[in-house]
Amino acid sequence: MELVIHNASCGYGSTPILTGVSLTLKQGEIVAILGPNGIGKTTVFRSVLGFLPLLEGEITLDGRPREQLSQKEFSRHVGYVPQSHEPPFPYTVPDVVVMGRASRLKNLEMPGLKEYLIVDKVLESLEISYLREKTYTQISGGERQMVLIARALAASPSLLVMDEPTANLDFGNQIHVLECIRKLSRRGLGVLMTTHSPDHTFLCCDRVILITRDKRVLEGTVDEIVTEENLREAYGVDVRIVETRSESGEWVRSCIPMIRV
Amino acid sequence: MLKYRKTEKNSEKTDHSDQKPAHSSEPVRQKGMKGWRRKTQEMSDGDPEDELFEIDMIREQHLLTENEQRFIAAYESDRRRNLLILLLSLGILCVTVLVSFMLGRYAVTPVNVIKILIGQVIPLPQTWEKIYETVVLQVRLPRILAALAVGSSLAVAGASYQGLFRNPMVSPDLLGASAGASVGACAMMLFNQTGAMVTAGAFVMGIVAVALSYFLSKAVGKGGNMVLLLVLCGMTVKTLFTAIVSIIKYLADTEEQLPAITYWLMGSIAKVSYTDLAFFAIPFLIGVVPLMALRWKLNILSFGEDEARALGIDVKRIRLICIICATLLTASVVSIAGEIGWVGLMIPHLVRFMVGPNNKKLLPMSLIVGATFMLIVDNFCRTMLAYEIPLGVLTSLIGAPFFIFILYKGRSRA
Repeated sequence: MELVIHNASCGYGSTPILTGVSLTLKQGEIVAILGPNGIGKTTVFRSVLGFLPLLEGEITLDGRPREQLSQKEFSRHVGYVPQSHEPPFPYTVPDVVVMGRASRLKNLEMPGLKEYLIVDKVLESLEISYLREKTYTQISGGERQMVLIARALAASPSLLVMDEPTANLDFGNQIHVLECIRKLSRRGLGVLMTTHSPDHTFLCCDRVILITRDKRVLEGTVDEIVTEENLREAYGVDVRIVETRSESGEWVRSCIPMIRV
Repeated sequence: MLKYRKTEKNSEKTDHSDQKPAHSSEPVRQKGMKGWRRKTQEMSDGDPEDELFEIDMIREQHLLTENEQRFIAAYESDRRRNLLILLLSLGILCVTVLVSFMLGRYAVTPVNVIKILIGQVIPLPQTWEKIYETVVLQVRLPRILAALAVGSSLAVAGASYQGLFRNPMVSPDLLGASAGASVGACAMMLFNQTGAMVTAGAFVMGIVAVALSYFLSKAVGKGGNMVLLLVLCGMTVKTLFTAIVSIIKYLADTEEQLPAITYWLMGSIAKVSYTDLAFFAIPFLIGVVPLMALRWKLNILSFGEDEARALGIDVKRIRLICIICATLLTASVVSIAGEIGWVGLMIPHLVRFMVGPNNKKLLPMSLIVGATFMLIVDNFCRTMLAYEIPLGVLTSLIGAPFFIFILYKGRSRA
């Protein structure tokens, strides 16, 4: 399964917010979209998911144009993990996760034993079986993020699109979620995510799309794109990239912003 | 165990199927074989359901793992419990219906009630006085049916609206159905119409008001936050129509028209006839059946438009169908019974307290509990004092304190 965005212009109405967006998402690969606030990351996302019509260019899934696929069919292959927010009703965790099966059910079919059994297996595979009896509104932000990942996985997609999976999480939970994303990609899932932290791209991404302040779209591997120079151009901040050796002897890189005042 | 990585063999298979328009990750179902088969590991192509046979078949062959067995046992005991709750509430409803037949100035014994009712279907020797038959069939039965229909409609419409608009504080007249219907009914009364014309006027204007809210919100916003716009436009339309009701009241003749209008606005099912009920039956069925069929999808809609779409739901269509159905229910209730507040807001809360927020259970239970509640309140209306108390007044009088009680109980439990 391969999602290709070719030379897309994304925006609301007829005014493009961002032009010339191209990316390829393959299974087993993690791609991050990086860029300052308000530059159009969310707009790109909404276009990829089909919530916004493209103004130019095209999106194909395995060579088939996005418009030819029904929403249901697309949802079977591309899972969406939104930023977690509180729903108005206190659903149980399995009731939330089973919603992921909607794209695999017939039109008026409701989930039954088989669906809930699949949900249970997904929870187990993400090691969050302990949330089985819990209420979605009463668990922590990190747990909620994991439940939303489980919900996307319940449809057994090949690709995942994640909107700032580490937003509003504490330091530990951020890393926990990144570890989970890496595990998923090792199992063969392709992941497209937005993030605000260049460090996260060092930790788990293969490719990066960096949108600069003047709306240039840079695309390439992490090494090519996440450089001191590009980050300065994108965010307008001085950054040093340092390397340190992990316990296993691997080099790990990290960004250190320079405060001028 | 879940396997998301495709094996070598499988990616080859996917490549082949690329040439054909076939959907490569559609679960493979073998022809001639009923249901799903548990696959060997190298055959699994990512979908967890591929690993599952038709569950009954695996169970017969003792192929379930211990965890699966435990899960199925828990699932089934849960289902039995839900069924029990459903049957229990149906039982309570039946008892309430029976008691309702007995209450009133003419006391009818339960045996006679049952005999008279059965006597309508199969001929029985008449052992009861004729007057009781008239009381049961001509006076109490239509009123009981009306209470059941009104209560269940409002509760189901309320539960659907709350899911649709992602807000537990929403009632089914959110988009102006009640206010519109009031204008229709009052205008008819102003022109000295009675009976069926009032009902028809209320029904038509109720639908008109909601349609107005809907199309206004479409006109104002182009692809923005539809839910918020709908609520705002609903509020506007409601205010507008309430103002028109005030004008009509001001214009009405104070001797006859004004009391009739005021009484109608307070809501009552005392004068509901079989004709009204027959008229009500059609929108009731058209409203309830699709809502019941789509009820699980309301869960997903309550997570918001984008998420629901990403989960593969046709949000616009389902939302429109649900709004139409719930509006049909509300408008037809208002047209036969006048404005009856609180029920649509309160019953779904009570039911959520009983069975949880999952709409799969919430909607059917709301139907039953709404009907029971309305019947009980109407019994109070007609027996508590020597004269009728308007139904709409009593639902609020009983409903409001009861609602606080539910909220209080819910809080202490959480």
